[in-house]
Parts: sequence; C-alpha cells; structure tokens
Amino acid sequence: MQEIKKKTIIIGLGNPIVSDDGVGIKAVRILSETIKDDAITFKEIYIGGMQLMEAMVGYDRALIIDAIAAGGVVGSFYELALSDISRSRNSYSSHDTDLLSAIDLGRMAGLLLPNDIKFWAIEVKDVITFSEGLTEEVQNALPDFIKVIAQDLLDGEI
Amino acid sequence: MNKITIEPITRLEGHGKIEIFLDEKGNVANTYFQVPELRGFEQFCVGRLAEDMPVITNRICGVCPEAHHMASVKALDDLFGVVPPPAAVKIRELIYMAFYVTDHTTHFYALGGPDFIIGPEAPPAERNILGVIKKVGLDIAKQVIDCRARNHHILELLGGRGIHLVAGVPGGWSRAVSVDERRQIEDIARKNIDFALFTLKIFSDIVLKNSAYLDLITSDIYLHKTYYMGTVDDKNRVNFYDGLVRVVDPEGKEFVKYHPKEYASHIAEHVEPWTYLKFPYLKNIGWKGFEDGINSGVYCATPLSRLNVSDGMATQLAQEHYEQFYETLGSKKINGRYQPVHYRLATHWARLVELLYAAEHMLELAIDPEITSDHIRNIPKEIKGVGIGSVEAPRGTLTHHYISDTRGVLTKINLIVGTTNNYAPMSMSIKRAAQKFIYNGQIVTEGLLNKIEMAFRLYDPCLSCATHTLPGKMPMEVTIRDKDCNIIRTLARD
Repeated sequence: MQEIKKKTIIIGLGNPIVSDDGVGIKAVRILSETIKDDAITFKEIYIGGMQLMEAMVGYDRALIIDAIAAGGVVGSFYELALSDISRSRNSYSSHDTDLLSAIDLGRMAGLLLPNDIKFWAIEVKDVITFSEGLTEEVQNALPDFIKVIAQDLLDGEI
Repeated sequence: MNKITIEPITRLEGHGKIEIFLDEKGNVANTYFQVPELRGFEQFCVGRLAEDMPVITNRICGVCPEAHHMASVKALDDLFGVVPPPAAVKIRELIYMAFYVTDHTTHFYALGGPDFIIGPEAPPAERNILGVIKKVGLDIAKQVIDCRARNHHILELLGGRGIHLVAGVPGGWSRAVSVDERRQIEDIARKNIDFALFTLKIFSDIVLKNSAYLDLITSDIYLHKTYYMGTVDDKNRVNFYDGLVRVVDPEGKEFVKYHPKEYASHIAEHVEPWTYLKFPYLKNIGWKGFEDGINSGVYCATPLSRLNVSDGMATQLAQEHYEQFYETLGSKKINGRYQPVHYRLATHWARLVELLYAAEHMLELAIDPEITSDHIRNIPKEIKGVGIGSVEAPRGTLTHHYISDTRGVLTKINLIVGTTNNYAPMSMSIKRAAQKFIYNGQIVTEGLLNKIEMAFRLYDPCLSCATHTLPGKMPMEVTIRDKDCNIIRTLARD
C-alpha cells in the first residue's frame, strides 16, 4: 500500500448501540484493522461539537465517518465538505455548539487544526432502535463504503 | 385554535418539540413540550451480565456518560453486596469532580451564558460561544479550551479511556493514582478554582451588575414555587456523589430525606398521552397536574434545587458564594437555613457556585494522602440480585436500578435520569414564559421565542438520555397557524 505522508486522523462518529447510528464506529474499526500506517490515527467519537474538534488537534488531515439521514436510498454514500456538515447526524452537539463554531473557537485559542477536513457519510435506515447490529441494507453496503474511503485516503496524498 | 410550533428546540440535547396553542384572541391557551423516545433500551439490557452496565449505560448519550458510569458502578456495588475501599471512593469522586467542572463550564459559556452575555434579543448567529468571546475577549477562548483539555486529561488518565469511562468496577476502581499523577491533578484542581472564580466574576460583572438582567432573573416570568430535590451529605451539604436524597417543600421545610434505595417509595411517574416521556412526581403528595405549590407533587432537581435543599456547601469559597447567592436574591434565613430561591433563571448562577465547589473538592481529594493508595478494590463475593445506585448528574438526581438472577444476568432495569425529574417543571416554565410573551395575537419575534427557550434552557436538559435519543443538527422552525391550522407565518433558523 502507498505510504501516507500527511498526519491523518480518521474518526468514526456515532453511537455503537443504536443500530445504523453506529455505522461510522464500525467503519473505523474495520479500517483500523486493514490499514496499517504510522501516519494514521483511528479514533471513535460519540458526540460532535467541541469534543469532535478537540480530537482533530495536531493533525494535517481529518476524515470523519458518520451516518446520514438525507432521504436518499439506504446504503448510498456521500462525500461532504466541512461546509456540508449540518447534514450529517452526529457532527453537532446541542450541548455545546456545531463543529464549524467549535473549529473557529479552537483556532481562536491557537489550536493547530487541520485545513483538510472531510466527511464520508452513509444513508441509514434505523437510528431509533437499540441494537449493536446494522440493518441488512447498511450492513450490505458497508464493504463498498469502506473501499471508497480507503481509496479516497490514498487519492488525497497525490 | 391557533398553533405555534417550535421544532426542534435549539441548543437542547436530543430531540424535542414545543407546540403552543393560542385561543381565539391570540393568547396562549396551552403548551406541550413533546419528547419522542427511542425503542428498546430495557430489552437491549435484559439478558446481559450486570457488570457490563457501566460501559453500556454510559453510551446512552455522549453528554454525561460519566454520571451514568458512576450511578451504574454504585448500583453494582449494591447488587454484588460489596463496599469499595475508601481510596476507590475518593478516585471515583475525583474523576466525577473533573467531569462536573467540564460540564458546568461548557453549559455556561456555550449554552446558558450567551443569553446574558450577548443578550436575549441578540440574533442567534451572535448568541453563542463565539459571541461570548467577542464580548468578553479572546483570552476566554483559550481559558475554556484549556479547562476542558486539562479535565479531559484526568478523565482519560483515571477513567481508562476519554469520554466513555471503563475503569469503574463493582467494589472499586481498576486504576490507582500514582504520586506523580497526584501532583498533576493537584495543579489542575488549583487552576480549576481560579477559573471558577474568574467565571463567577464574569457573571457578577455582566449579569448581576446589569439591572435589566437582574430584573429579568427576579421577575415572575421565570418563577415557580415547587418542591426541590437533591443529594446531601451527613451535614446536609451539597454532595454530587453520595448521601441521602433530601426533598424540601416550597417554603424550604424538609419534606423527606431518604436513602436512594428507597426511591420507589417516594417517586411515582405520571403518563400523558401526548408524549413518550413520563413525569416523575412525589408519590406522597400525588399528581395534581402541572401546578406550583405545596399541594402539588411536582418537584425540581437542578443546581438550583441542590442549593435549595442544602444547608450549605462543603467547601469554603463555594460557601461564601452560596451565601452571596441567597443574600443577593433576597432569601431570608429561617431556623438557620435560607428559604428557597424560586427564580428559575438563577439556576445559571447556582451552576457556577457548584462549579467552584467541584473545583475545590477536587483539590481536597487531590491532596488527600489516601488518594494514592493501591487498595482500590474489594472483590465481590455474592450476588444479591437487586442493586440501586444514585448520583447527582449535572441535570438532576440520576438513579440506576438493576435486578438480576442468581448468575448476575439482568432480568429488569429501571433508570430515572436527571432531565426526566424536571420534565413537569420544564413544561410549566415553557407555558408560563409563553403566556407572558405571546398575547393578543401579537407577532412572535425571534427575540420573544428565545425568551421562551430560555425557560427550558436553564434546566440544561439532556433529552439524549431522558429519551435515549441522539443529537443531530437541529434547526429551529416556528410555525404559526390560524384557527383552521393554516400556516400564516413561519420563522426558521439553522
């Protein structure tokens, strides 16, 4: 595999015990087992806003994997820029602030935050039932979702 | 009947919706604070090993997992009939104080404070933590970030993992504190005290010295005379981790003081058909509707409640600010203790008194020689089958109740979470504010709506665990409908 040069954090976002809401967590766990590179850190985060911002401090690049309920076909993938994050499920914390404001706050405080922040999200079906498993549709889409993210990770180096 | 809908509520963890119904004259006839619920948490837990619960329940939401972790390990202490060694209790408390400092700081600077520091009528785009920095100064950004970082460091260091702790076990804690770590923690605690005092000064300078804000706090718009609940120590002082649950009536007289294990004898839950969340009330008074007063079983469990049920704070500086709180708000002492403050907006100030207490108590624990003991666990030797544990979550008294079979496999669970305690008072506060601000069919402005939102924001509600729902991006939409339910005006913000 091509060597990654940028110091990168890949964050799985969501709640691992509420069905498809945990898809970001599951994706990052699989990626951490398949991609071995000293420049990459894998992390699970369970809430957005300031905690999500604080997790990205010190990295050149951040890739955040989350669930999305955008009304599309279940299992569809979305590549989102930072300006699109209001559409992902867990990037916002109503207990503090949205991620954009949190990043502004962090930069004001002198934190070194990545200029390159991107989201990958997958359309989900059930985010209201307590379960450690994904729905069949999302589970079936997960392998291709992970392949796309892994390829994007390499493409971002070129 | 006309209807105004506020959905979902901004800056409120989890999903909720407020519906305001107007009468023919355009006055508020009624309000409904509706909460949906996710499916199947009890079924999810039944059949699991009881000792898994501290890790499972702290995933209910990302806001106060530390509170769930502590209530859960205390329930397991009880279920397995084991008493943790003193050092383990102190480590638990120490980590809990670090959590409180972070949580109360975040609420003040990001959620509650902007209404006062920026102003309740300011546009929402400015009424946030960035607006606070613009008003107070850039240095505050660094201070807030530093405060969160140093306390998260403690959570990660002693909790085994940041955010969702894993170190709590029945009978103790699985991670001792080294001598070097104790020094670090002592330094952090001292910085926390300075930061808490700095924050109280901001509150004093910007809020208390502004007569308009003080008038708003002490107006009858945000006033309710209910019972109050909170945990107290053996000297009736505020305690977040352990003690007896004390309830005082609206005049401040002790109504009952009970062990958390007896909660079912004192708390019952009322059901309304228009919401999934239940309304806890005092069983021995009874449910009399959404009413204030000594004859209504409605109670409140918040930072303000904790101060109202107590005879004082257990640390010196917090006690000084506690006295200033009651003296400034005109409370008289009867039989040696202050009468309750009923101004619900004063909850923001009470939260800062608690912030200072948490910081001071952290220092007490950090300099306690026993904190570095390596005797941090007593191994359980029995399974009693029933375990109840309780702590004061930042948002109210949190109770975990587990029942297991003889193998320790769960057969039933019940949780009463902090925000749930306050569901009835929140509903009452929303109705009162709506009635005060919307009348005679006047146009509802953004500023008026924010003043209604302030009525529940002061409770620092977290519907994530109250309903087991999850946060997402929550734009606010207000729809005003005529008597035939046709939309005549819509207000929305991102």
